[in-house]
Amino acid sequence: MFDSKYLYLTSAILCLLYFIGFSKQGKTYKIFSFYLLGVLFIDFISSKLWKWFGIYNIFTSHFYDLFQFVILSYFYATLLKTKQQLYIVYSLIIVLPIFLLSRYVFNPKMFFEYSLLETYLATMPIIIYGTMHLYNNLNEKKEFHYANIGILLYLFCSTFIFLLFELKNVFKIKSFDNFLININIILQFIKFGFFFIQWKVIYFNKHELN
Amino acid sequence: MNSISLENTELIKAVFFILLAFLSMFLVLILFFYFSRKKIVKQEIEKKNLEIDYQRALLNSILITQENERQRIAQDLHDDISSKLNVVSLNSYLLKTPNLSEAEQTEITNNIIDLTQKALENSRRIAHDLLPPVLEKFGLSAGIEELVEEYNSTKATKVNYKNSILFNDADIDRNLHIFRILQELLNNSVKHGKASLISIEFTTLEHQNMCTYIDNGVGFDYLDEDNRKGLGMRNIESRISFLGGKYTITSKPNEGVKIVFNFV
Ligand SMILES: Nc1ncnc2c1ncn2[C@@H]1O[C@H](COP(=O)(O)OP(=O)(O)OP(=O)(O)O)[C@@H](O)[C@H]1O
Ligand SMILES: [Mg+2]
Repeated sequence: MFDSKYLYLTSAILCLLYFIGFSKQGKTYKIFSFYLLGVLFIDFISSKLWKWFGIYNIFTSHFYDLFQFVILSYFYATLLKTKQQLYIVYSLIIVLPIFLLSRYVFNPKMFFEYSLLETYLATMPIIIYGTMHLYNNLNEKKEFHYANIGILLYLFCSTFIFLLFELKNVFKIKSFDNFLININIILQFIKFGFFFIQWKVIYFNKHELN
Repeated sequence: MNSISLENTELIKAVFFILLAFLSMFLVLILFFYFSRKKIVKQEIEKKNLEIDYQRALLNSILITQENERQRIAQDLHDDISSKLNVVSLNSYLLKTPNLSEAEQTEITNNIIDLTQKALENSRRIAHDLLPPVLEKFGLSAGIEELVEEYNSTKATKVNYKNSILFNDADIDRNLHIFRILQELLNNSVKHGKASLISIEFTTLEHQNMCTYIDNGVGFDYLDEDNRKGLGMRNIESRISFLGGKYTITSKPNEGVKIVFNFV
């Protein structure tokens, strides 16, 4: 189970499920499907890079962060309702990528380094959007409730894990590595579980409002 | 020396981001819980207000019904009884006129007898309308049977009545509520639903008395505002709440109406 092979498999099956009824669904659904596809693709590429060329994840992690930020921002832009919330989403979706990309333009070397700032800036807004969506729909299970919970839970926990990982590196502790990686895999499974429930709700419990 | 200081800045940077991330996640959580609490409380208050409004509407409908009922009684008394008694009194005056022939006298007396009989009949009918006497004398089940008979005798509708409950006949107030509910339901089924088949069934389920009412009429959408303007359904609601019960209405256009309510 801790083999990431199964993770890819789950991710791929989920992608397939989401793309089966793709054309009949709304905008939010389509964006979400592309998010799943993108994540699968980037994960796949990064694992192959590691296997074939020994290039470490750092390289793809930049893509991953940026891709996740942009597409999930769009995703939440279709879900959030109030003017202020949308204002925040739309301004960040322009400002943040420009800022992050400009750093590489001025200092291309950074492209091959891990950037805590980047991860932080690209993840935190998504967590905030997810929380906003949860807040908007208190007491009711509205659009993409389960997907939102999955995203939030995963981002929250994985950020913690990631921070622990960093903390460990800072203090040069060597143990725990596998433990943290395994927890991360479990978290991903949980996330996919929520996405699967979301898919089921959309297709089988229509009255529950996608 | 240089590498150590470089390492140190890296370390400080890392620790700084870690702290920042922890802090901001913490902040997000706190803000979320704070605002959710506020929102939930607000929603609770709104819900309570809605409930109060609803209660007020029920009360209002009771008052309106009372007024309407009074108006109807006044009208009945005026049209059916007062007018007849008026004519009776006129006729009685006529009797006083001197030199009336035998034939004229009999005609006037017959008129008087006729009219008083009609007035009597009408007053009886009005009284029965107000409080069906069978209810008091023979109990609710007999009252419902009589009601059902009245509908069945029109041949336009067939009403089936089944009962496996022993009503407490001393409790006339409660029985009257149930009777009136059925009266209004039957009324609606015939008037709006054009139903040809109606079934009324009383059963007990886990010490709860239940009444299931089904008609095969045109049905209606109960949630539609247009169907909530009448007094009939609202009175049914308030009567059921007087009975300490709950009710469910299932109906769709063209699929008849099913109403289930329980009472203690
Ligand atoms: N059994 C039924 N079949 C079809 N429609 C119904 C039935 N019962 C109620 N309705 C619909 O619900 C509406 C509300 O009924 P309600 O008894 O409250 O008012 P009403 O009968 O129009 O007036 P009132 O009872 O105050 O004289 C009706 O106008 C009718 O459209
Ligand atoms: Mg009515």
